[in-house]
Amino acid sequence: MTKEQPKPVSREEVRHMAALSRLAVTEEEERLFARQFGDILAHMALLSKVDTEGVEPLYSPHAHAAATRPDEAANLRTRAEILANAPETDGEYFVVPRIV
Amino acid sequence: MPGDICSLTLAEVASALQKRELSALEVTRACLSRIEATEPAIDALLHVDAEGALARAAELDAGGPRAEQPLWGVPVTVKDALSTKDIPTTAASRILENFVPFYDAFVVGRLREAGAVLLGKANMDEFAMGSATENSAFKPTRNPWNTGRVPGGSSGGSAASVAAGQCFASLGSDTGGSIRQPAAFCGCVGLKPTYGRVSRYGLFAFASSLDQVGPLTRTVEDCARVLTVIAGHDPRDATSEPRPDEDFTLAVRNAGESLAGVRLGVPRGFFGEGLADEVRAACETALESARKLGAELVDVELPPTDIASATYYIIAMAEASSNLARYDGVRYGRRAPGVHTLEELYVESRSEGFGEEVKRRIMLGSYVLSSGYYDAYFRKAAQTRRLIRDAWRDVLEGCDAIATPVAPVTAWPLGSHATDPLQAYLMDAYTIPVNLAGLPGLSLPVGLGRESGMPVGLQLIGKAFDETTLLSIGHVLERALPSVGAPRLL
Repeated sequence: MTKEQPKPVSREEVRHMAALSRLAVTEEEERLFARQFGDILAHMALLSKVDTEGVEPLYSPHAHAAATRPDEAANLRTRAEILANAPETDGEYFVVPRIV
Repeated sequence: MPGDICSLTLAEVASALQKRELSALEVTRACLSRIEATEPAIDALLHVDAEGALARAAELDAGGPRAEQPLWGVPVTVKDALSTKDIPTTAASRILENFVPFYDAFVVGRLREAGAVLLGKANMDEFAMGSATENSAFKPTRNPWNTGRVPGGSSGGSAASVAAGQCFASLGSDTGGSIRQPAAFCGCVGLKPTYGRVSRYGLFAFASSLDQVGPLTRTVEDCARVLTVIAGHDPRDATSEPRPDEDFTLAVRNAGESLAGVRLGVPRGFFGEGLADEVRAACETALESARKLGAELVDVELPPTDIASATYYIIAMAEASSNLARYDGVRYGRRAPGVHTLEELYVESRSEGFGEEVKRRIMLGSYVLSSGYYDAYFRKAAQTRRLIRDAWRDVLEGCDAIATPVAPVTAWPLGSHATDPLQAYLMDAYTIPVNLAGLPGLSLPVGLGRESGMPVGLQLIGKAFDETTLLSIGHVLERALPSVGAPRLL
């Protein structure tokens, strides 16, 4: 198995990746991820050796015909069911910190 | 008899239940006692619904068996990534610690309609990300064959539960090997059906172009019976294929005892560097048996496994980062306390709720999709995916199935890959191309490794929607090979 030489990811880059992901990382995680991400991205970079000139990307293993169905409201769920697992509600709506 | 109930196959117990030689309550009680006796050693389950299972069994007994219910009175477990109405469902994540769904997954509904008794929820790697069940936020599961070793993953709780006789079948999910590899590590049969064969409605999504739900059982015939129950079209999963119903159980029963006329492709690249000698030996013995049964073994060439592995991890992580964006602390799941802005609420809830491996994959997934890297990683991987899929399809034009090891090694000691995620990723190399290509893959126990004494699995891979051939070959081979037996846990 040939492997690209791992290039460590900078800690700044790790913070950027965390921000994209809406995650916060501790300093310890930052150091750990910087090293591990370098190894993993080097493995992924193996693909640069594959000639894909003119190859159409494949996003799903089979072709799926878009199935249509009548546009009718089903009303399968009650408000109580939907709200039952919410961390905070006022009985009618989900409650979040003030936005505006 | 009660002491022996748990060692019956699903087909045997279902037949005894239909004839009322056993009651649903007797069988359920036997399984619950087995759970009580084995859980301290293996921790296969995250939630046991003893009360619900006993009530359901009593209700079934009162109504009497119905021949059209192939799982009537049969106790089962399901992976905790499958939604179960009124029963906690966490995907082994802190972020869903107190989540109780108000609906059943499609496959869970199908199990209930078929008369099954749901005993509980099986442990797994958090959001199915892992191959040892050590990434569960709650506890690691241990292998019933040797409790110092992992059961495989991510459906490790399902495999351990079936192997330990806690239930007669379990459902798992397989994104890159998560049914087949734990089945191999625990000496069970596991099937990843063709992409589109089984609805994922109610399966907590990990990577939507790869995920499939499938059975883990103790025999191929049992596997066929469960597949017959869970397969079928569901308009709530847009990738679910409308196809006529098939009776896989019947197909297996009619399989006969010969493999005459069967062409088995053997990719020599999968038997090379990195494969443990004991796995190679067990797989080659099984292939030799197949040849003696009449199968023709043909050398085939498939794309290198390291290319498939790189392709897989880019796609799986990208899709995971998108799917797991829904866990935001607003509508369900964990919400961090004491936050003042919406942004803080998202970031803090997710950072507290997700474990390390899940964070790693979400972050790498966001990265390979991000501006400046999308073409080099994600688009490139989608292109190599087409090359891989086409190559597998072409090879399968020339043979009935492809045979490979399930994993390069047998079950490893707990904690072995704790600090090096890439090493763990490379262990999935033989199973992931099957998900990339959307093909069905069967894991069949073929022996015990001569060094480790742990089970070895042979993987049989078939044409899309040709589970019948796969199960038939598996069934004939299973009957010809010496049984690996059951772990001596008690």
